This record gives sequence, C-alpha cells and structure tokens, in this order.
Amino acid sequence: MTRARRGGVLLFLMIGIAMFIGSSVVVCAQQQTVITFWHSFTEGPRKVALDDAARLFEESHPGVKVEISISPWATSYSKAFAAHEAGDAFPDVIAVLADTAMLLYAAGAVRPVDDLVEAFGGPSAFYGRGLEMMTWKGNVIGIPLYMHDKNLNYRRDLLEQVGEEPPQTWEDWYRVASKLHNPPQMYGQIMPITVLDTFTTPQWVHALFEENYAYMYDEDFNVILDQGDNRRLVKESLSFFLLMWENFSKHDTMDLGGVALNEFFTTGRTPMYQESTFEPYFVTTAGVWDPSLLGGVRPPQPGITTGRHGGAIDLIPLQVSATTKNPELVYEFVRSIFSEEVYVKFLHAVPGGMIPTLTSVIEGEAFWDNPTIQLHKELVQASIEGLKTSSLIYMPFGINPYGAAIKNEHTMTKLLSFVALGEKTLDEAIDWAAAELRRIFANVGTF
Amino acid sequence: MTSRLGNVRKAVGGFLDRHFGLIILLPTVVFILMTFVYPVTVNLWLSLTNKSLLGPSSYIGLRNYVEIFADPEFATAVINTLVWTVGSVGLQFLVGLGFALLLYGEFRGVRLFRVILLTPWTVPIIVLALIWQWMLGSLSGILPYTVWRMGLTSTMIAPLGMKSMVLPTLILIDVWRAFPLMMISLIAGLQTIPQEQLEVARLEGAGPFQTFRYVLWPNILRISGMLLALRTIWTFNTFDRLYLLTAGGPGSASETLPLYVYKKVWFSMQVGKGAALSVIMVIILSLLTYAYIKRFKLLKGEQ
Repeated sequence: MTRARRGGVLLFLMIGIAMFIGSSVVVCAQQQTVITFWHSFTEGPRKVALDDAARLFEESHPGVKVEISISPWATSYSKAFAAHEAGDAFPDVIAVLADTAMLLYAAGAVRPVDDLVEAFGGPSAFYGRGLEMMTWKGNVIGIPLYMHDKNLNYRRDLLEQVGEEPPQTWEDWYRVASKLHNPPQMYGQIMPITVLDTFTTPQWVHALFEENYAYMYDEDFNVILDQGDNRRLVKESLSFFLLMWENFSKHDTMDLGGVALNEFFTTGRTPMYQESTFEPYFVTTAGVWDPSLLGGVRPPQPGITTGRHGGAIDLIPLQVSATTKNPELVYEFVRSIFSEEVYVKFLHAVPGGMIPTLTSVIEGEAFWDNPTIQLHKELVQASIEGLKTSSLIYMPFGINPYGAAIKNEHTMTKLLSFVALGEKTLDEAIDWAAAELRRIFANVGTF
Repeated sequence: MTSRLGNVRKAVGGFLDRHFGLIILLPTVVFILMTFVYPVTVNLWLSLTNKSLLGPSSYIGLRNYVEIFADPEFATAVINTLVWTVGSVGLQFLVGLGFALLLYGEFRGVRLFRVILLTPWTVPIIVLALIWQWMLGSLSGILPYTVWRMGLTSTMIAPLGMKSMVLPTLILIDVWRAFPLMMISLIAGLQTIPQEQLEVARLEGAGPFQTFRYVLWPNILRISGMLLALRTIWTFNTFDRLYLLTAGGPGSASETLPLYVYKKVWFSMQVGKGAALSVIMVIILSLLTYAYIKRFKLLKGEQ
C-alpha cells in the first residue's frame, strides 16, 4: 500500500470519529427536559385540546418540552408494545384503551400510580367506579381520563312512524327491527361482526352477556363459557345476536370497521345502533338527519323481569412509564391535563362523548355548559347512570389481563363469524371458543 | 525515541498493507452482521422459545413448529397465501405482458398511454385502500351500486365483505396496482430486441404468434423470470393493503401468512410462535426463489 493511500484510509477513519464526537456534542448542547406523550386522538378538536395542554405546560415550565406522538387506536397497542420491547423507546405518558393499559401493566411497561392519585386529593376526587375500574390487585394502574357507557341509540321519528317505544327487552328490540326492516333502504338492525377494531363487536357481545348473566370466566379466572347452566345463558345471548344478524343485518358488512358500521345509523340506513355518547357527535358530523331526533336508552334486557341493565364501559386512562426519568415532572404534566381550563376544553371537543372522571367536574357546571350536551342530556345522563352497573368490556369482575387478552384476540368475534359464515354450528363454535380461552389464560399466565 | 517511533509507523504500515482488503470490507461486514445475521439469529432463537409480550421466556425446542403445523388456521393461511400469490402475480404478468406487447413500439400517443397506465403503481397504499373501500363500500360504493342498478344483483353487494368474493377481489385490486411495473419492465426488455431479428421473422412470413413464440419470448425470458421472482417475494409478503382492506376477513377468508404472523405476535402476544412462522415463511420463499432461478436460469452468465 502506498503511503498516500494509507494516509487516506487513516484520514477517512479520523473524519468518521470526529463526526461521531461532533454530533454527540451537538446533541448534548441541545439537551433539555423532554416529556414524551403518546395518544390516539387523531381527530381535530381533541388533538388540538391536548396540543394546547402541552403548550401551556411548556410555558409554565421553561426548559421542558412536551413531545406528542399520535397513532390511531388500531395501531396504538402494537406501537406501545414494540416501544416497550425495544427498551427505552416507551413514552413517559401514554393514553390507551383499558385493556391495553392492563396488558402494558402486566408486561411491566408502566408503573402503579397510587401516589399520583393522592396528589389529586385521594380516591374521592374520582367519580363513581372510575378509579376502581383501573385498580388491579390493589394498585391503580392508570389515571382515568374519561369513560363512557354504551346506550342503544335510536331514531325517534322512525320509531314513532311504526308506533313503537324505545326497546326495553330483546323481544321489543326484535319487533322494532322487524317493523322497520326494508332493505336495501333500511336494515332493521345492523349487527357488527368485525375484527378491524378491538371494541365494536366486544361491546355488543359484552352487553348481551351482562344483561343475561352469562360469563366467559368466573371471579377466580376459570373458563366457564362452556360449563353447565352458564353455557345455556351464553348460547341464548349469542343466539339473539345471530338471530338479529341473520334477519336484519347486511351480511356483506362483516369486518367493516366500527366507524363504517356506525355510518349505517348516522346516514339513516338502520334505525338503532348501540354506541357510546359519541353518537351525537357522529350524527351531527354526518349531517344527514336532525340530531334532535336522536334518542338513547340502556341496552335492552332479555326479559323485563331480569332487572339487569348491564352494559359495556370504555375507559381511557393515562399511564406513566415504569422507566420515566422524571416521575415528578411527568406527574405534574398528567395533573395539568386535569386542570379545569384544559380538561373541560378537552371534554367539550366531543361534547358529551367523554364522561368526566373527576367528581368536581361532573358535579360542577362547566362540563354541562355546552349546547350539544344540553341537547342530548338524556343520553349523557343514561350513560352516567350506566357507569354504576356496567363493567369494562370482557371484564365483568374488574380489570384483569385475561379479559384484556380475550378482547385483543377477537375470540368472541371469531366465534360469531364462524357461525355467521356457516363454518361451525353455535355449539361447535362455543366449544372452540372455550378451548381458545383456556389457551389464552395459559398463555397470559399467573399474575 | 525516533527509531522507536519509526518502528511503530513501520509496524502500522505493514499491518495496513497486509490487511487493507479486510479493513475496507470491515464496515460492510459489521453492517451485514448487525442488520441481517443478528436479527436472523435472534429470530431463530426466539422460534425455539415461548417468548410472550407479557414476560420472560424459556426454551421449548420445536414445540412452536409442531403447534403451528397442527393449527387449522395455519393451513387456511397457507392456502390463502398461495391463491393470493399465484393469482395476483400470474394475472399481473399476463396483463402486463399484454399491454407491453401493445405499447412497446413507437407510434403516436404511445408515451401518453404508458404514463396513464403507470398511474396505479404510483398510488400510495393508504390512498389505494381508501379508494377501493369507497368504491366497493357496502353502503354507497359506486361499483356495487352500479351492478345493483343494472339488475345484476338484488341488492348492493360489497365483495370485500363476502367470503366467496373477497380473495378474487383483492387479487384484482392488486393486479390493477401492480401490472404497470410488469408492463414497463417488459417494454424495456422488448425494446432491446435487435430490429434485425424482427425483420428476419417478417421476411420468413412469421405471424404474430410465431413472432412472439420464437423471437420476442426468448428475448424477454430472463427479465420475465426476474420480474416473476421479485413480484412473488413481494406479493407473498404483502401485509399493508390486505390489512387495510380486510384485516384477513370476513372470518379468515383473506388471512394470509403475514397477517397470521401479525395476529400471533400482536393479538395473541406469542412472539415465539410468530418467530417460528417467520422461519417457515423464509423457507417457503427460498424454495420458490430457487425454483424460479432454476426455471429461468437467472444466475447463468449468458442467455
């Protein structure tokens, strides 16, 4: 090798090393305290409200930067787990669905936040069972940001046309759907069978199970889906779902996303739909029919005598990373989101859609001081009422990793699709699902 | 002191002289180790464990592989993947070849035609998914509506929501998107054929079929093989558009191996099983690629 070439190689190596050191120096010089915050509020108003919350926090904390990253609900779960598996990529604060929150806690990605609850003024600062629903084995795993319970929403004018009251029982529900079924203009009841999101079908199945006292597993986490009298109740609930699907739903809607399915209601192609109090927002946004025609009741029961109005609750908590470098600052940031200035603005981004979790806000005036909430007060009140008796989807005995995993794996949705597509009988599908649940429980392990 | 410094310089110089090739190869070797050998080795190891997203793992030998082969969903995914890959790549090639034969010559407006036909290939996947979901939608899709209004169906039927129609529909969407790549590559191949060969064929009285059989096809055989091999690998591994359009549904009617792996890792949290599935996919793809290489003599130096 010539001296010149050798010199060239050495020079090349030295330049490389110098660039590496130089870039490290630049990074160090730019260092400031950064709080990373991941959420899934992709639509305008809620995103803007949280952007404003971050800006306000930065203004009151010089030298602190809040970096927000947004991913849709459908991908937030895999993104969060990928970040956890990657090591130090997990955000300081994350807003996720309740089941994802449970699994993140089980995986050790997030920390218990009992001390943060105290900073809010203790458990009494939280309304109803919100905090209880975020408690697993005595630890609070996330601060509930908002919650909602599902109602059976309906079109007042359409029900009046056929001389019907809002359905109270499954029999009422079937009869109303039957009277209004006139495809392709109107489908009596669009029933969702979809794996495109993790909540649409589960929230319907969960409500049908709850109302009929049917369970997938017992309080000790034993699978009882296919056991004894419970199997009969399970079969009744699923049979009713499939009866409505068979007779009144549009069969090529299988595996459409929740938003697309709800469009049948908001565009006037099905008279009823089970949804959260987001429905006024969806109906208003679609602009096809007058939102004042929207009504809502608790999900119908199998018989009027059962006395149960159990429904499905969605709860979105804020969780704090187990490895955050600035826990006190991060706690302060979480609390800042609940300041009245920020929190009510966030809740009003989808008026009535998100039920507050703080007692002071739900009992105060600011939350209710909104024309959309006033217009749909009946729906919002029904949802708040439901929070007393309903439970988290697939978690009738409180939050746990097993129910979360069942929801995640779409086991019950697959069961329905097997029967709807004629691949299995209902009994075969229940046996299949019970075996799947036992596999899932074994896979999740003991916590 | 000076002589010691000289010795060091001489030793360093000698070392660089002897190992210069190795030194300049080193960054590439390190890069390959980091980006290929390490992940593949880790994946192989994971496939022999019961690694879950929720906690620690332990060695379980070949149990993941045994369970996968016993799973009926795996068999469905394999069949769907083969139908999807063979159907999509085969049709892409035939349609691409057809348009290439029409458009490889020079005539008025030919470049405009090529550009217009190339457009689907440039559409981003997310836009493609939204366009087709809208056009095939159950509620107001323009295609189901048209078919219904023409009296061909009794109601609006969304093919992506129907078990019997979903896979053929997805294949047609993929052909629509990907045939331009075939077309443009084959046009490039056809344009390299010496005019003398075509002239001789014409003088010998060869018809269009004979010209294609004895002149055009032999000249584009290797580029066809290369295209088919690459498109097979890409199509086999397709995840994005299938996930966005149907997520494998209805039921598991359009669930292919990449979607099955995704569900095993993320929904079932079974990372070990997902890793084993990846190994199986690599083996299947390697066999397919080897078959293409043998059939089209892709690694031979001359035609």
